[in-house]
Amino acid sequence: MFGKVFKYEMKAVRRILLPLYGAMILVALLFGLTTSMTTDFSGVGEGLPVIVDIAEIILSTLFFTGLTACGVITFVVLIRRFYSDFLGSEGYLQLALPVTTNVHLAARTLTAFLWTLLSGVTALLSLAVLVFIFSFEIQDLAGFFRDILNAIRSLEIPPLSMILLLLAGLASCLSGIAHLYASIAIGSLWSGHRMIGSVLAYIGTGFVWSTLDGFLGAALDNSSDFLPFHIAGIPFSLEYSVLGAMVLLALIQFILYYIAAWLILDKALNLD
Amino acid sequence: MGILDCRNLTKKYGADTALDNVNLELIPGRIVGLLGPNGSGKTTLIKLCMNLLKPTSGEILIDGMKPGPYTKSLVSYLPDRDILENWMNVLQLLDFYTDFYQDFDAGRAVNMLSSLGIDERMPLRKMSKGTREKVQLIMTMSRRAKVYLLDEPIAGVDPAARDYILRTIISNYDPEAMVLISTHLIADVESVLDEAIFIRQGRVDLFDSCDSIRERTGLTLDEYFRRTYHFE
Repeated sequence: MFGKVFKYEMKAVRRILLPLYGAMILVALLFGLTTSMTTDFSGVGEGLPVIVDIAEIILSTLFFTGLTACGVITFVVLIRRFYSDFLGSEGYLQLALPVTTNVHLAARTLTAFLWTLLSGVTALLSLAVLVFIFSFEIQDLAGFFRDILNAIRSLEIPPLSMILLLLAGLASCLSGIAHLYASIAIGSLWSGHRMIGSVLAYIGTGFVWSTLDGFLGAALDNSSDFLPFHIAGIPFSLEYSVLGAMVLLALIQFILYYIAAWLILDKALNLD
Repeated sequence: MGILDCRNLTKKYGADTALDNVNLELIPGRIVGLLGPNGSGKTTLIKLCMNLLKPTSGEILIDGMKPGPYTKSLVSYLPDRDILENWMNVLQLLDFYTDFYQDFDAGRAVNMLSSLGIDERMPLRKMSKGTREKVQLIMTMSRRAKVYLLDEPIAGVDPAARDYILRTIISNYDPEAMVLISTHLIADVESVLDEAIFIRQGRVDLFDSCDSIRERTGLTLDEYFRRTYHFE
């Protein structure tokens, strides 16, 4: 049943988000092209009509607001979907399905996680399109990517740090989603004004966690070595310890919020 | 044990009691009317059966089990509101029901949809309220379920649509199944009911076969309802 719930959640969201991401990349492409024409990299831009300048201004506004809008709209769509699936009219269809609460929650968490990643990939891709067009005079795509890789290598970040950084990002994304879902679940315990209840729950749980996070982080930082790395035989490094602690704390946060959301939605949800 | 049992079932919303110590045993093969004025607890009882509400005390058993994924696979539920996903068209809705309900008879649904001339490719968001209600009813009645819970299926529709809805229910439910129809429009459903539950302020006033009620009172169910629940 997990696969089926996941399939329909992806379908429900993709009709809004995919065109949005596609439009974002298209705007980046057009913005890059008009900018490269007006800045006259290749000398073909001389004597261009004023309409190209106007188009560039409009596209630059669209591009920079679009970058923010992609994230904001993804965030709003995913929250709205979850809220209506559990607390709105759609709940009467979704919660009547022969599916456990855990499957409902897990499928929606995975959906939100993938779309959040995709919105990040879209932002990176849009920037990459711009950079690529600006460096088009090189006319060497392989060389362009080789330069990027060389630039990253020149930072001399150890591979384990890169992996830990990536894991910390992914774990924070998961815990952020679970935080939102737990807040909506807590908000559902209000007899009325559930949306306000959810916002207050988000602020309250965020405050509690950040306090707890401070204590836990301090405890982990003060230790001479990060236990999982010590067990794995990785030599001590402050950088590894801090990044490892970030991953661990984000995962703990994810698990706690997920369990809270699951318990409330399974045991205490009363649909209006 | 019936297919649907309520034992000392109580549901409170804060200080308000929506259902008060309800005991019922509904057996298969019957069409049962859940009859009562607005706010009497009919919808609350059905939502408790679907686990959309949690009881304050007491329990509900469907086929001997507490409401959960198993009982939901046995129960076909028509809520008292529009629940269709706007992003789907009818074909996608058929796929949705086929995916989740093993007892869903897509052929039966397609026949009913075509008899009403409903375009399967039309997005649900573009349909009129009445057409959406019919689509919802068709999906509900196209399952070969053990229990049908129909919450106000004829409220807010014109008399012609009422006839269609009742015909659809009568001609599509499995004779071995139990159908519970909640309504306050008793005259319209009286002819199809085998048994009636009269409910008021969360309490079951009367639960008996329709023939027995008519015989004992000398009144139709509608007349009995009007006399018993009239406002001074």
